Amino acid sequence: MSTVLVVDDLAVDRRLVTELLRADSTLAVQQANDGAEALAWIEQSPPDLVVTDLIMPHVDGLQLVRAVREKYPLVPLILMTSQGSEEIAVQALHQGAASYVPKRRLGQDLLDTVRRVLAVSARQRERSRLLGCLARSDASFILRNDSTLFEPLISYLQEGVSQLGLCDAGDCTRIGVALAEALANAMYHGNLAIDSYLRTENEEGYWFMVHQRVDQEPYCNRRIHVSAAMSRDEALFVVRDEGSGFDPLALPDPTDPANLEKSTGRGILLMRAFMDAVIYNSVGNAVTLVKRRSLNGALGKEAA
Amino acid sequence: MSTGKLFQAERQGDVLIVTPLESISTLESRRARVELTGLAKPLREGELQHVLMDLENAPYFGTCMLELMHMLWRHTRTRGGKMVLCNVSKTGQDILGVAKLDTLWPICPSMVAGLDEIGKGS
Repeated sequence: MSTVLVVDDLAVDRRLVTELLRADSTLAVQQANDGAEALAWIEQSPPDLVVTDLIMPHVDGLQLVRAVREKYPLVPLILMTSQGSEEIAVQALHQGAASYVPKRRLGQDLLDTVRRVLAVSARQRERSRLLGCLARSDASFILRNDSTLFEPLISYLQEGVSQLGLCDAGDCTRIGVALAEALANAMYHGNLAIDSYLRTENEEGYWFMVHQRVDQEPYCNRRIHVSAAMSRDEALFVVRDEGSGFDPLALPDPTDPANLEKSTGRGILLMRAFMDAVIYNSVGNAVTLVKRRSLNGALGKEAA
Repeated sequence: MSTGKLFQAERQGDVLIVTPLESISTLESRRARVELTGLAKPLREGELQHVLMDLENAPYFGTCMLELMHMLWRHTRTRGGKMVLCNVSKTGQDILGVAKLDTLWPICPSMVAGLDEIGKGS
């Protein structure tokens, strides 16, 4: 049995929708007069689905969608739209509503839409339950010098970290920033062997060289190796390039006022700030980034 | 007002207000630089003196954005102008703090406060 909460400030519309839904004996239907009452209901006992009007007093449909998506992300919402509510419906869909049914089409489309959304939602809940049992995730990638691959890779790794519950959304973002810097360093300074000083001295020249070397041997044959070992306690990422390496200790301190205008070293600075450990191999062509589960809000940083 | 794919730029008095339309990662460096260079033309040509960067749509960023900020700041500096940031997220403040760039550019809570900051002593 799936529970559906119908939210509408007009009693006649609530009754109509309820009757339509009760034609399916697998649906148990509850009603709320407006968004505020709906939120009180959901807090007591989250339904499997919410079907809501948009224009309502106190808490309207858009506000209801935002609140439910934030606090109960596994509860989907279907909007009932009418003439004049199209713009707010678009906003609500952008905010995460699962679908919509125009009020003039409730008789034809509502039940099918409800069944479809419930089926998708049931699969998502099952997946969420399974991922709650995820203990460890390992991955390994070998990339060409193609920066368009980096964003999807970072998203993939962030999702892995998030699924394991290793850190909150803020730390997940910071991990993404650190990974972006490591990948950019591996490609531009490692595989393409372009000195970061050139960027400060002559940015046009820097990008000209990047454009040239991406298709030029031996640079074009070099690869970026990325491995990730993620568990509930720790995520360990290794980014290795096939360049000749460098000495990270030889970089100038980017926080020295004399160097604030230079770009050299800033990427590593961000990596060190956002990860608990950043370790280069002896050659300087592989960096290990470590993020540990934070305990009681304290960062799991390496002891100095 | 000018709008590219990554930035929006508008003028208010002698201030160029630059708004990234999304978080720009280090990986979009070249495209972002080309676009921002175009939008910053009035600054380079001396029509405008100051820059206010609104980071409301960019809750996080990497070295690319920091370098673009530097580029804008260099233009304002040659004209004796100021550069101020506003609507910076907590992560953004962390990034600027780590790089010590919060010592170069004041960070204000809103666009209005940012414009006031620029107006002080101008």
